[in-house]
Amino acid sequence: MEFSYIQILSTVLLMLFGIAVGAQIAPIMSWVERRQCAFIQRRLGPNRVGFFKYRVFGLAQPIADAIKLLFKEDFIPPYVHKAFYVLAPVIPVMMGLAVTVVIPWGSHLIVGGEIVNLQAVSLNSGFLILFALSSLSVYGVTLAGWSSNDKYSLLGGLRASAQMVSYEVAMGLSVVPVVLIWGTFDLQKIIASQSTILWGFLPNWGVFYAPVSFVIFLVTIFAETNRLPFDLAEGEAELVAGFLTEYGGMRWSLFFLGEYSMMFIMCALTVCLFFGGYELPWVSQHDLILWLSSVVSETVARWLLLPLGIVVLLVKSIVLMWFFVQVRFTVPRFRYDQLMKLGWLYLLPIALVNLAVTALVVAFVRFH
Amino acid sequence: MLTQASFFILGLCSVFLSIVMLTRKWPVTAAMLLIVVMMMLAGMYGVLGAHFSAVSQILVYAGAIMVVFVFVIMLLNIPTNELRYGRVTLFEWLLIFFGVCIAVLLGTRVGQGYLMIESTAARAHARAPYYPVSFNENVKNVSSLLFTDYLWAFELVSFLILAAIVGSVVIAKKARVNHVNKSS
Repeated sequence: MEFSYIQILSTVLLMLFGIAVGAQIAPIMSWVERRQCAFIQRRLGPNRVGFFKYRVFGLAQPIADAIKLLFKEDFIPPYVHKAFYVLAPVIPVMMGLAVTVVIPWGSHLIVGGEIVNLQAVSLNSGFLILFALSSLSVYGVTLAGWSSNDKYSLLGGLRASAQMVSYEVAMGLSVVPVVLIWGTFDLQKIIASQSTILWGFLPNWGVFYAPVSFVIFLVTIFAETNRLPFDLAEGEAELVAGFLTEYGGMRWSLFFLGEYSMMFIMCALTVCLFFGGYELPWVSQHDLILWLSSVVSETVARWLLLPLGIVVLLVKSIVLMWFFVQVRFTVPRFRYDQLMKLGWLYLLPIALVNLAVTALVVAFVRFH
Repeated sequence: MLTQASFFILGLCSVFLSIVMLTRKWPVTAAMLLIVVMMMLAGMYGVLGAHFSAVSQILVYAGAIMVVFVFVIMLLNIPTNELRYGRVTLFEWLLIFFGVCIAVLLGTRVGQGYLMIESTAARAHARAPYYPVSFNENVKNVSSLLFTDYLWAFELVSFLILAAIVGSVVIAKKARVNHVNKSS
């Protein structure tokens, strides 16, 4: 295989950009979460910390929090299994940031006569790598629970692993119809086929083709990222703080960094599969490039559209993440038997029927 | 060159880590090392261009089956002094012997069918190895093979798995019935 320096450099830069976005989303989301919680509970929330005399809605609060957490004492309880206790918080962060390389930030650029794909890693098997790596992040929670050597933590870890395995099945099955409809695993191709217009007035989004898949996928990503209606692993009503009981300081917040970056990546994947990714709803990037090409050259036009694509993708993802926050403070936590019942007795059969129906429809209609 | 080097490094690491895994005392440590070995194997598949196999290796083995392994190990949580460590029974020596035999068979030319089809006449009748038309259509290649050449094997394996599921349900039910009878 031939590699050019432009390709290697662009891949590295795109990976770094993805990791940077994934890591920066966490502090911002913690602020959004606290503010939204406060508004739902008719409070003001953190609105004081700012830069010098400017209080920008308390947006500097995450910086203050991060400094506080970094300077806390790094205490390891004497009774824990040390190696795994230290290793456990790193795994979710590693996996959560590693999978950001799959997100396509735009179609492609032309640099020095070479086409540069704006997806850092485009494997033959497409976005499946995201599922593979996100399924590994559960080891962080499980190991944290086991190595803490404490019954509440252990129960939290066991709950997390059972929950992940149960919901991963429905999650995988809910994505298959989308793959059947677009006929590919490649996120770039999926997004490109969503840029047209359906029936003259709707954007050609996956959510209009596979609404059932979208609902199941949304529910399962709540479970996969351990968000509130499904956060049985740390349910503070029953298990002091679950797997987090023995953790403090920066190690404790690393779990949150991992959780938020995983939440971001899952929202970005949902946007790519069901809401047209980096494409604007009614105007496709292809049309914009044709229109801009009359003014400037195509190379410059593609460079101009790069920030637009990134902003569109981020705005769509953040709206979805705001929905996550909204659900967190609206819906009460499930009981554990209800959680298992929902996963195995409702979501899995619905996903299977949905898959069978979609397969039949695709066989007769042929979208591609 | 880069491919060979990364394949060599991954292979060496996976063999070394497998040996380390076998000699661990704590079951959780061994399970974690097994996950790392599986990721190394996935890396080898990826280097060979079989991205779909690599991803399904991580997704199925490291991400799903090993989670259940770790779950059971943690649920039982046997204290270390009750673990049988370092003693190998006669039956296990036999298993080790067969394992080495299989490794030799697969790792040398014997297992690759070179000795079986020595004569050119037999070689002419032998089935040609499958080479995909394009390496860029991983999922398509795998699925087209599964639904044409290997359909019977695929369906039989699925039947085997179904039998295993039914068996485990039967065992679980039996234990429950016995438990109820004893308590009443």
